[in-house]
Amino acid sequence: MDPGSAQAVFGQAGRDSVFILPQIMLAVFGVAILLTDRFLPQAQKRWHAFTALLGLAFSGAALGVIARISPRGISAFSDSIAIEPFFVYFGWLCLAVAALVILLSARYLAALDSQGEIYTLLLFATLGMMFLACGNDLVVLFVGIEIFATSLTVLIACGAPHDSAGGRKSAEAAVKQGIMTALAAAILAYGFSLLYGIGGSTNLRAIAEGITRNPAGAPLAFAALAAICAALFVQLAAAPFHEWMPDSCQAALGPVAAYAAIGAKVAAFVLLLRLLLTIFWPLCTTWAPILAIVAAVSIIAGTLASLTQSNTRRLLGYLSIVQVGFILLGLVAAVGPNGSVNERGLQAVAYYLFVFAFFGTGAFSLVISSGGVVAMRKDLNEAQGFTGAAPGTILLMLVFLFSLAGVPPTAGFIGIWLVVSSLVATGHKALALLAVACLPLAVYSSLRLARAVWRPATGLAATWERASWMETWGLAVAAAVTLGAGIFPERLLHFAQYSMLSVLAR
Amino acid sequence: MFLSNAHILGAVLFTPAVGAAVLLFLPRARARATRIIALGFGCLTILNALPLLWRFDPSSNLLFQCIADAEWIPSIGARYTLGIDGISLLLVMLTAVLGMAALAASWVEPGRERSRCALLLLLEFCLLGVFLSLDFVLFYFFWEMMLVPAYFLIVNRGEGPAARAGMKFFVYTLAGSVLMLLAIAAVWHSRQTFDMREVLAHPFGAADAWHAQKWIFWGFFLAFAIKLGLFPFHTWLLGAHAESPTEASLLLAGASLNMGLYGFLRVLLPMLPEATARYHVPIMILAVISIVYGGFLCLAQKDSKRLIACASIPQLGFCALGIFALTPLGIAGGVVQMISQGIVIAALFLIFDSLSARRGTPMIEGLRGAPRETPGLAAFYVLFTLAAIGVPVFSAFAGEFAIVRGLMERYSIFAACAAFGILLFAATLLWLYQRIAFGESPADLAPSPRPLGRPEWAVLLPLAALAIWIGVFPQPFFHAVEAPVKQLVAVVNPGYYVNRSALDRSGHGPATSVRASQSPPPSRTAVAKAVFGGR
Repeated sequence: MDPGSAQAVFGQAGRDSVFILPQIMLAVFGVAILLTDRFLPQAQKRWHAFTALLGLAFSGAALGVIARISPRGISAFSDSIAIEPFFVYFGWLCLAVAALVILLSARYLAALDSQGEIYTLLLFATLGMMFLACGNDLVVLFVGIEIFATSLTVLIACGAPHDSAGGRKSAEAAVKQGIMTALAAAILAYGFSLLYGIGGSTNLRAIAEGITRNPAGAPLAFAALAAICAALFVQLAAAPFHEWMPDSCQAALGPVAAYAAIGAKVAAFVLLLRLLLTIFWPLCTTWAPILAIVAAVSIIAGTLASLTQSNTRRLLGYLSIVQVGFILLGLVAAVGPNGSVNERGLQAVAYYLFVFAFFGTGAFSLVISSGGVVAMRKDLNEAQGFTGAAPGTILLMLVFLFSLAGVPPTAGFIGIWLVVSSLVATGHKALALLAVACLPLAVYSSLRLARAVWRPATGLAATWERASWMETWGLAVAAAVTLGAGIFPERLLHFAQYSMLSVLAR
Repeated sequence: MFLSNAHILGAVLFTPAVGAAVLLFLPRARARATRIIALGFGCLTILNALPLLWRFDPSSNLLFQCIADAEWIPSIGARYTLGIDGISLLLVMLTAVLGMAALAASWVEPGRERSRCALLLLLEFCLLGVFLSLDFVLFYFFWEMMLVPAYFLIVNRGEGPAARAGMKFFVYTLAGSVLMLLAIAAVWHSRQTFDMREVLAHPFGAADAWHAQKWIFWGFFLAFAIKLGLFPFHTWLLGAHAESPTEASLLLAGASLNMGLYGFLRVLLPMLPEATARYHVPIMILAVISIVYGGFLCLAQKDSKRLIACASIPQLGFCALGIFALTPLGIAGGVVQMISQGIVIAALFLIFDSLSARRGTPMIEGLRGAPRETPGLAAFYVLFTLAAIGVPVFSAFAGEFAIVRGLMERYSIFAACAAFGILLFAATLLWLYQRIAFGESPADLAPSPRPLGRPEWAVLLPLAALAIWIGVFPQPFFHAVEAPVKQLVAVVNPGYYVNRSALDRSGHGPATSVRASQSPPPSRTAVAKAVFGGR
C-alpha cells in the first residue's frame, strides 16, 4: 500500500486512536452529559455526577491498559503524540483531580441549574490537560492548553444567576481570568512560532535537534523560552503573575475555585515540564535562575499575603501559590552544577505535584463540602467550626491543612524534604534557607484555618447536613493519599522518577 | 513480653499510636470506656518497655542495643532504625511513666475524653519516636510531628490566650526545627547517609570543611535550644505550659523539653565534637543566664501554674550547663537531673492543679493555706518541693551534685554560678511553700476540704517513689548512662582521659579530681563511684 494514500493514513490513524482512548472517553462522556442535560428533569440532573465519574473511571482504565501495553513509550499520529510513563503518571493525576472535585462538590452542584454544563466543561478541561501530558507537537500542546483554558474560563463564569451579586462577581472573575489567559495564550503562541522558526517543524524532537544543532539560533531560543515561561507563569499563578488567582478563587463557585486553583496549576506544570525537560534542557542553566527568582517571589509573596487574609478562599488561594513556589524550587534543584541532571530534584517535582493535587483539593473541601459551605462562609476570625457537627470531617481536613504546611506525617512534609535536600545537594543554600524560613509563616496561616475548623459548631448543628457518601469518599481518598504518600512514599517516588526520566532521556 | 530484641522497641513505640487509633473508633458518649482503654494502652506501653530494663546490658560494648532496622524510603535513603543506649533508655522509661501519669491525670477533669486521650497518646508516641530513632529522617519526622498533638492539647479548643500560646509554640518551635532540616540535609550532603550510627562512628572533624561544620552545628543547636527553652529562646515556653490543661503541661514540661537535651547528647556533642569544643563556653554562658534569669522569673510570678512552668527554664538550663561541661560527671549528672526534673515538675504541676481546683484559682494569693485542707496533698507538696530543691535523699540531689562536681573539674566559675542558681531556685520554691503552706487562708474563701481522689493518688504515689529512688539509690541510673557518657567524653573532650592518666602517672593530680583520677583510665563504674563512693 502506498504510504501516502488516504487509506494508509487513516488506517494508521485508526490504529493510533487506541492511544488516545482516554481522551476519547472523556469527550464521549462529556458530550453525553451535554446531550442528556436537555432531556433530564431538574431533579434527575444529579446523575450527571455519576456519568462524569464513570467517564473519568473509563478514561483511567484505558490509561492503565495503555501503560500495560507500551511500558517503554511509543509515538502515535506521526510522532505528534508520545505515549510515555510521563503521560500515564500525569494523565492519572489529571483524572484524579477532576474526580476529586466532582466527588467533593456533587452536593454543592446539585442545587444548580447549570450543573450539566459544569460537568461537561470539567471533563473537557481534563481532556485538554491529558493532551498536554502526551503532546509531542506544538500544535497539539497549544490546542490542549486552549481547550483547558477556555473550559476553565467558562466554568468560572458559571455560577449563581447573573442578576445576583454572586453572579456578577463570578462574571467579573471570569472576564479577568479570560483576559489573562488570552494574553498568556497569545504570548505562548508567539513563543511557539519562534520555536517553529528554529526547528522548521512543530515536532518537539525536530525542535530539540534544531536547538542543539544550531547554536547561532540561541538568542531566538532564549526569546522563545522567555515568552513560554511568562505565559505559563500566568497559568501557574506564580508571583508576580498571580493576582488573578485569589480573585477567581473568591468569586467563582466553590468547586470551580478548587479546580481553578489546583487543576490549572497541574496543567501548567505538565506543559512546563514537557517543554523544559525536552527542548529547553540544553538551556537549563538559563531557565534555572529565572525559575529560582519566580519561585522565591511566589513563596515570599504567597506567605506574606496569606498572613492577613480573612477570607478562607483567598487564604487557600495564596497558600496554593506558596506550593507552586516550592514545586518550582524542586525544578530549580533538578539542574545540578554545570547543567547536569539532579534526579532527586526531578523526583521532588513530580512527587510534590502529584500529592499537592490531592491535599490541595482536599483543603478546598473546607469551602465546598456540605459542612464547609455553611461554616466557612463568614470572615475567618468569626467562622464556625466543625466540632460537634462533623467529627470525622475535622480529622480529614486537618490532614490537608497540615500537609499544606509541610508537617509530618503528611505528603507535604516529604515534598518539602525532597525539595530542601535537593536544593542543598545542588548548592542552592540561600534558596533552601528561604524555603524553610517561610515554612513557619505558612504554618501560621494553615493553623488559622485549622483553629477555625477545630471550633465548636454552636448554633449550626441544626442546619448541618450530613456529608453525602460521595463527599465522604472524596475526602477519604484524598486523605488516604496524603497520609499514605507521607508515611510510605516509596512507590510513588519510584513512579515519579521513572515518569520524569522517560521525558528527559529522549 | 516475649518479643524478640528486634521487635520490642517497635512494640513500645507503636502501642500508644494503636491506642490513639482505637480511641477514634469509640463512640463519643462512652467517656468511661474511653478513659479505661486509653489508660490500658498507657499501661501496655510501660509493660512493653519494662523488659528493656533487664534486656538492656549497660556494660555491653555495643553503642546501641535492641536495634530494629528495616527499609523505609530507599529512594531518599531513609531507614526505619530504632535502638537504645543508656540515655535513651532512661528517657523512654520517663516518657512511658509520664504518659501514663498524664492519662491518669486527665481523669480529674471530665469532658471531651476521646480527643484529649487520643492526643495524649499521640504525643507520647511522637516523644518515644524521637528518643528511639537512629535515623535522621525518622528522628525529624517524630520531632516535627510531635507539634501537632501538642498544639491541640495546648489550644484545648480555647480561644484567647490559649490559642495564642499554642500558635506561638507551634510557629516558634517549627522555626527551630526547619533549621534542623537544613542541617540534616547538609549532613546527608557530606556523609551520604541518614544513619546516626554511621555519623557517630565517623564524626565531623578535621577532614570536613570548618564552615560546613559551623553551619550544621548552629542549625542543630538552634533547634534543640528552642525546644528546651534555653535563655533567649524561652519565650514560647511560659505561655504554652501555663495555658495548657494540666495533663498536657505535665507531658510537655516533663518529657518533651528533654528532647532538646537529648538532641545535644545524641547529635551535637558526639557528631560535631570540634564545633562543640569551640562553642561550648558561650552556650554555658547562655545556660547560666537561663538558670539565673529563670530563677528570677519564677520569683516574680503570681500565678502558681505559671511559676511551675517557669521552673523548667532554670532546671533545664542546669542540665544543659552540666552537659556542656564536657566532663563525665557533668554529662551523667545532666542526664540524671533531666530525668529527675521531669518527674518533679510533672508532680508539681499535678499538685498545684489539685490545689487550684479545690480553691478555684491558680493565683498564689488565693492558694494560701490550701494544703492544710487536704493533708495528703500537703505531704506530697513537701516531698516534691524538697525533691526539686536538691535536698539529699531526694531526686534532684544526685544530679545536681554530679553536675557541680563535673563543672568543678573544668570551670570553677561556672560551678559557682550553678551553686548560686541552685540557691536561687531553692529560695523560690521555699518562699512559695512558705506563702502557700503557712499562709492564712483568704477570709472570703469558704474552705472546701476534699480528700485526695483516687486518680491523684495513683499518679502522685509512683512519681514520689521514683523521686525518692533517684535520691537514695541513683547508682542504676548512673550505671545505665556510664558507657554512652564515656563514649561522648572520649569524642568531644579527648584530652580529658589523656590528661587524667598523665596526671595519675605523675602522681600529683589537682585536688578537685578526687575519685575519678584514682583509677587510671576510669573503670566502668568510675562515674558512679566518683559520685557515691566518695561521699
